[in-house]
Amino acid sequence: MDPFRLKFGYIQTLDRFFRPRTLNAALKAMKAGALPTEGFAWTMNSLKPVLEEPWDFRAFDRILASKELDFGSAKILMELFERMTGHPDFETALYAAESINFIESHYAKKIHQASALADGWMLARLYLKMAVLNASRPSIRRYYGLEALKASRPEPRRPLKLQDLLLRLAAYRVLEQPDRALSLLNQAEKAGVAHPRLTLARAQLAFEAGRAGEVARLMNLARSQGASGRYRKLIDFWNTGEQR
Amino acid sequence: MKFHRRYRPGLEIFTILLLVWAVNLWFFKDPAYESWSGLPYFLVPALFAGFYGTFLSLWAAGASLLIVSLWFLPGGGTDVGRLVPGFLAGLTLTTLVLFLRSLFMDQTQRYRSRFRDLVGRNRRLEVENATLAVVAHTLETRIAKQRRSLRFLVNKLNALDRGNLPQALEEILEMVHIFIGAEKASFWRYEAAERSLVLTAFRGWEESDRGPTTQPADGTIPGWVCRNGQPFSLRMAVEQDHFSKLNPRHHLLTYPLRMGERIWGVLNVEAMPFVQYSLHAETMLEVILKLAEKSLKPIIERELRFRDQESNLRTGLPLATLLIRILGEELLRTGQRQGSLSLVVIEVANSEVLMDRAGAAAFQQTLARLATLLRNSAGPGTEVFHGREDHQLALYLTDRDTDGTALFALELLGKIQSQSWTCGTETVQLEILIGYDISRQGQDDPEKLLLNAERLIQLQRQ
Repeated sequence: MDPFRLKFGYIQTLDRFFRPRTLNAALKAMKAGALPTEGFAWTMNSLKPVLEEPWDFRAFDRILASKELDFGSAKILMELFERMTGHPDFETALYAAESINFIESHYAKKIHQASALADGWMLARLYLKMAVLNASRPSIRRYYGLEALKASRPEPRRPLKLQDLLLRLAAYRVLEQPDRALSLLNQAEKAGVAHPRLTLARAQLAFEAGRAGEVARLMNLARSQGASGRYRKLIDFWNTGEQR
Repeated sequence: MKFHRRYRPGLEIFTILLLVWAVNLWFFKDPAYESWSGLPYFLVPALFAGFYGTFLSLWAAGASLLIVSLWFLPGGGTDVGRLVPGFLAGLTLTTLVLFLRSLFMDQTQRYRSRFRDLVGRNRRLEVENATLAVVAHTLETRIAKQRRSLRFLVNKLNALDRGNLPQALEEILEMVHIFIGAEKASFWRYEAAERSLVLTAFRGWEESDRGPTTQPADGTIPGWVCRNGQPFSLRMAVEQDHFSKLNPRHHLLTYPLRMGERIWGVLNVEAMPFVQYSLHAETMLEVILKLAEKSLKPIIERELRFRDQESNLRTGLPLATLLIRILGEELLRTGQRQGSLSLVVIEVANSEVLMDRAGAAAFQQTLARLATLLRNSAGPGTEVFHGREDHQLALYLTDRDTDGTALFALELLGKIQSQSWTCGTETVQLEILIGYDISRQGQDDPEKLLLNAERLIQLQRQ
């Protein structure tokens, strides 16, 4: 049979088949034989972004109900819901407010669990996430930023671990305290803690201060320290203006 | 169990042969089954060949021969020669059974092998399915992956020409936020004559970021970008000292926005995540602005026309004097491209009654809402004006013939009648009269168009 007809024939006869709304439904329908493989491929490639208007509130419900709501998605949804609270339609604004509440409760529960386990590092990370989620509310952001610093306070006479340093640096960024971040980096340097990620953190501070020359120098340093993975592209960009 | 499996065949051989021998000994006066050529003994290996295969059939054969040989002990009286046919028959049968068994076992082996393969494949498919389900779920729920989709970009770009300039610029700033992660960004309009840049739109700014809404074009990065028509990226300050002197601190990416041959202004990105500052971000910004320029051009031109013009204070709509002027410009353009221009005038016939009941201010607000409906009906970029009378609105359409304009007028009437209107606090009915005229190839003047449209309305009044 003509391969063209096999594939594109599905589109021509779209109405004869079950029309799944979600990718998971398409996968289940395909496994059950209610949808050809072309149908699954078509659904996958035609996925409507949830942020596209008109909004599909059922899609928002599905995502919020998911056990593994990833932080990146939560952050984007928070931004959207904050904008939506200003919508002229009361129902839409109310939905947005409730959704914001839901996301905050989701993380508040995790904070409570981490507190009960006395897991300081996890607690600090969660506070930091809450600070980022409340980026548009300076007072709340500041509160969570300070809590993150409190929770990640290093134990006396214990050497600073890299992950603690990075967490505290992120908290200072959230609190918009670049001087304190720089001071922490200097302390780490004095204590002999050297790592490409710390150099990159220093480069980030220079970037935010508009010191392009210093950024380029620090990128070279990070490269010589062996920065790899996703940072390699960034380093190459600053060194050559191109990404390899 | 192991003991049972290991020693069972041996026990079976022994038991069966013992049984045959015992039967031979007590029931038959036929030592070694001589009259049958010893067949019962020589059939036992064939039996074991069928169930257990070559090895155990050899054991059974050995055991049979041992049992048979007991009959040849001194005083047994058995003729060995008479047992040979039986032996040969037993051997032949055993060989045949072994052959058939091996055929059967081969087939069984093939089925087993195929079954193993299928089970293995099934297992792999299950794993693939589970993985696919996870990927599908992730694709659906991972919004970060969805939001930078091309489709999202296209829809945003298509939405640009539906609003006014501030709305369009905000949409672009949102796209910049979504596609390159810009946390703070702004548009500055270039005023070449005054050598300054005026803040036109911003996104992500906090209270502390708000400062003067103008900045000089000399000695600043945005000014340099406007004068040279070249984009600026912070990494350029590494290579050229000149930029370091211009204080690039709040200018991570500054790109010009062109309107035809001239530079309208700049888009400035003040803050973005360090890890996203990349060649991709630079390219993406260029793409967004290039694509947006086409939609922005008519909006900006319209804004330029309407800037500083008189408009009705209550409705915010431009006055009829501006309508006449713009019609003149549009007719010239229509003439050049040999198109057509239609002027549509909408009159609220019961305006006096409405004004008496609710007041002039309330009526003007109703007119403003009516203007919104007209704008939405006529399509993106349509401007609605006041007519010569206060209770009239007017708009122009391009490249529609008489039928097209008449159809538009009819559809408009239907939309107005189907909607409920309020004037003040009362729900009212709007009595609408519509007049129109069409100019082909720009061959009329604006006053004539307006007069003809008003005449049509007058006819309807009678």
